Amino acid sequence: MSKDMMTGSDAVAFGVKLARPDLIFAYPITPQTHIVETLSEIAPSWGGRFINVESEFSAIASCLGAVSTGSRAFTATSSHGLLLMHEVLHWFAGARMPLVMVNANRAVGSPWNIWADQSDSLAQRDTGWLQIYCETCQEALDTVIQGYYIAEKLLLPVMVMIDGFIISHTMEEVEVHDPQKIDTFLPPYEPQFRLDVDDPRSFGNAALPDDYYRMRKAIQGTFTSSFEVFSDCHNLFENVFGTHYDLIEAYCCDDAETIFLVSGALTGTTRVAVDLMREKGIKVGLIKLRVFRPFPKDALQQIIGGNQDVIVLNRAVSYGAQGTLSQEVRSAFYNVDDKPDIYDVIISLGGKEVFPETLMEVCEGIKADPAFKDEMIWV
Amino acid sequence: MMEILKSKYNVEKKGLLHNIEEFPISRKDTSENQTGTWRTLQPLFEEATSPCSQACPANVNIPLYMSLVREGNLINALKILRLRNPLPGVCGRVCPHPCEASCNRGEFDQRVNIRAVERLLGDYGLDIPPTREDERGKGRKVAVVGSGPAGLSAAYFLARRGVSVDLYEREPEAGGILRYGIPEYRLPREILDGEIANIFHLGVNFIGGREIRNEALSSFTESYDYIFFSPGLWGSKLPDWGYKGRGVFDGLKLLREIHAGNIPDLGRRVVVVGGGNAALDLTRVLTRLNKEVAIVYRRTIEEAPAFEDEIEEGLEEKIRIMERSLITRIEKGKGDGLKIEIQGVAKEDGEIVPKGPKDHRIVDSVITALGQTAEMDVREDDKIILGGDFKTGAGTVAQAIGSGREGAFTILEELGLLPENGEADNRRVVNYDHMNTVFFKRSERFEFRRREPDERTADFDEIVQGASPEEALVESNRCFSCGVCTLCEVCWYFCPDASVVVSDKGSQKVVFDLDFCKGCAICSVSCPRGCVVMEEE
Repeated sequence: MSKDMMTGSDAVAFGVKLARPDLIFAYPITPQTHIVETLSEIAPSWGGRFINVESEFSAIASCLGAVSTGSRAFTATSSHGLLLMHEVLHWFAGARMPLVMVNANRAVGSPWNIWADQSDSLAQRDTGWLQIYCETCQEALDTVIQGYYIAEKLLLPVMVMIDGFIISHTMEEVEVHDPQKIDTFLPPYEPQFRLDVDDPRSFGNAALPDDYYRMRKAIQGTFTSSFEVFSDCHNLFENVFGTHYDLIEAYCCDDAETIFLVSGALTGTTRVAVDLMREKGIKVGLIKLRVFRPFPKDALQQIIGGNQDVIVLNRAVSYGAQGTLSQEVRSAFYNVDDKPDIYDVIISLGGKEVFPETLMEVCEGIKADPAFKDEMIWV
Repeated sequence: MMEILKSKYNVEKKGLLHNIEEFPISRKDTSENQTGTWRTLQPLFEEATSPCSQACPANVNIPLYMSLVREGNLINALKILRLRNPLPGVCGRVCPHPCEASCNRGEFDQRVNIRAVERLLGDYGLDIPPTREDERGKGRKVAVVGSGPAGLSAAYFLARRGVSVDLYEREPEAGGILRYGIPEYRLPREILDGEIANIFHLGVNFIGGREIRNEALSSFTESYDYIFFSPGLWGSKLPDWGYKGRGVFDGLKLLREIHAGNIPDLGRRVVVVGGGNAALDLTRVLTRLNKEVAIVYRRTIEEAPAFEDEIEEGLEEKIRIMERSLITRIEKGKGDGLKIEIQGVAKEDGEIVPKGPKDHRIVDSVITALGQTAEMDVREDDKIILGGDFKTGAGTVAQAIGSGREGAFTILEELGLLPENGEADNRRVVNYDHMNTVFFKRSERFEFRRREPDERTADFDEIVQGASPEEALVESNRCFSCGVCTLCEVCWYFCPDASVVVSDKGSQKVVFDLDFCKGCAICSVSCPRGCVVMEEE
């Protein structure tokens, strides 16, 4: 298939086109708007229906209804829109309904701010959704397709993150895969459970404490075993489309003394910083955390050793504690005997610019004073 | 315990079948859970009476014929109309339409122009004579006295069951007040003739030119099973003006003469006394006969009992009215004229009495239209059923039609021939509060077009132009069908328990599955037409 120049928003839309959901419910919000604009135009091309609903709450609730009937559905949102969905996010995972939703990462007010950070999606950490963060437009397209594969295998919803503006509004060369190949990777959805008039069952009705507990435990069980599904997904994707993906990606980590741990589009900037520092002979590397939920603890432990420093680049803060990502990484190494030093860097909120030089300064500063290890570092 | 904690979730690599135990889905079919047991209120499908039907003195099922017009089924619409009213063309013209006054749509935007649709159906039916429902009345004989709207109606409802009807009329032609009272510009004679011919088509034996007085009536009790007596009110009261000779006319008798083709010499200057329909009719008829006419009325024209349309049309035609005035005395003037004394009025102890300066005029004729009285005394008994104005006092044509039907049904009931549809409609009435109007769109009412006043006062041709079939269709679409289920399925759509079944088979159009209906009343509240009521169990 040929490659085209397109924005991350259009890449998402064409990923959705390949996945051909029956129903799309959405409410526009900056910086997600172009995704739904494009979808509203192209949905009829595969027989899909785009329905512009009156709020994000309606969008996600309508998706729940659609998926309950056995349809494949899609929605996209951002920031305050995602927060408005919060109640139904819990319900979706509890209902064990598969969905792919794209969230264009954006800060949350007050004050008003439309630029990228990860406060909106990381605040949904405990809703039972899988979360995948994309670095590029191509990855956004590919992850949407993979999202359906995973969601429909696990019967859990998948949230795919792209950075607002930095991915959503920026053009990049993107390969739109051959639709003829898609069935090999993602056949039409065959629901195991769905609302069926011939077998009428109550969905989501009251459960007694023991039943509730068992169902919640089952969700965790599915998350735990989801790594196998990810592995299948990545292998099959590589076989069909030729691109390799993984839970995390390690870059120049083998001999690195310092490793940046980063997610989303900031990974690109960090790659440049790593290359620049490597040219100067500084032994740095980076780990791109692609999948945040389930948290790939084992994969991180395999890469990172006790003699390495890890600088976690946070774009969301759990106020009164640490950067949200730092908490996760530190927790992953708590039971490891040979622990790395983990630095909690709050690098960008509300779209604050990060340049390769910024990262180089951070790295040098930390090297100069190991006491930073115990501090929250605001750049 | 430890074993449970350690147990790993099994995922089959291919297919990945999940265990339903781990999903928030009922284990059993939802039919296990009979939510109907939670119910305290039960929905009842109950079609009801529309306010228009209730207000109609003839009790016509208006929403039903409207819905049939809407479907383009004019023939069945006509049948429904004729179940209660044999004179739709007449009523479409002269009935003051109390139905419209109570139309629920009036509270939404504008009342439905029911009369326009009725009139269209009446005209459509002129060439389609009604047929007998059955012959069960064969061998029974009923005399109907008076062929006004009440007598025609009674004859029609009796003849439809095969009863042999002799219809007696003092005048040569049938119609009573319709022919000898109401002017042609309001009711063209070809319409009246057509509808009477349709009634006669059922086999009514019309005997014109025969006045039935008390003596004849007593002989009828021998020769007929029943007598329906509706001679109307053709008598009148004449005030004491000190003169009642030449030049003073009884208005109703005068109208009768004029319509029979005998116009007496009235001179040029005419005064009409009164404010009812007869006064207005006389004034407008005489205007068309090139007289100089003025009404003398003791109240204001706004207070006059004449129909709104009559007054409005009269004012358009620039009739002269001396309001709040009385004629107190009439004297024979010099030559042919009459000298009349006119005085203003005041109210004393609730009575209107003459007061103020007196004015004198010379006129050629004074015509009274001061109310109607009976010309004879007849009482109802085992065999004689009274009807029309004679029974009820002066009323509308529709009231007379209703009275004729009631009389006929009383007779049929006595004879054991009452048709099923003859029973009175005692159902509840659906008022605006019972409607759910979110499903309706606002639209403009059809208004009748009238000929220009200058043009129409030059002849006796009809003033009001009826609706075209297209306009009547549009108007019929404005009918809310209050109390009538139109199978819109709103109840089905909104029922959260999927416990509503709507079908067009039989009169029970909506059926509730009470095993699962929780009694939430959404069906009742959402019904646009008030057809579902909630009842405590």
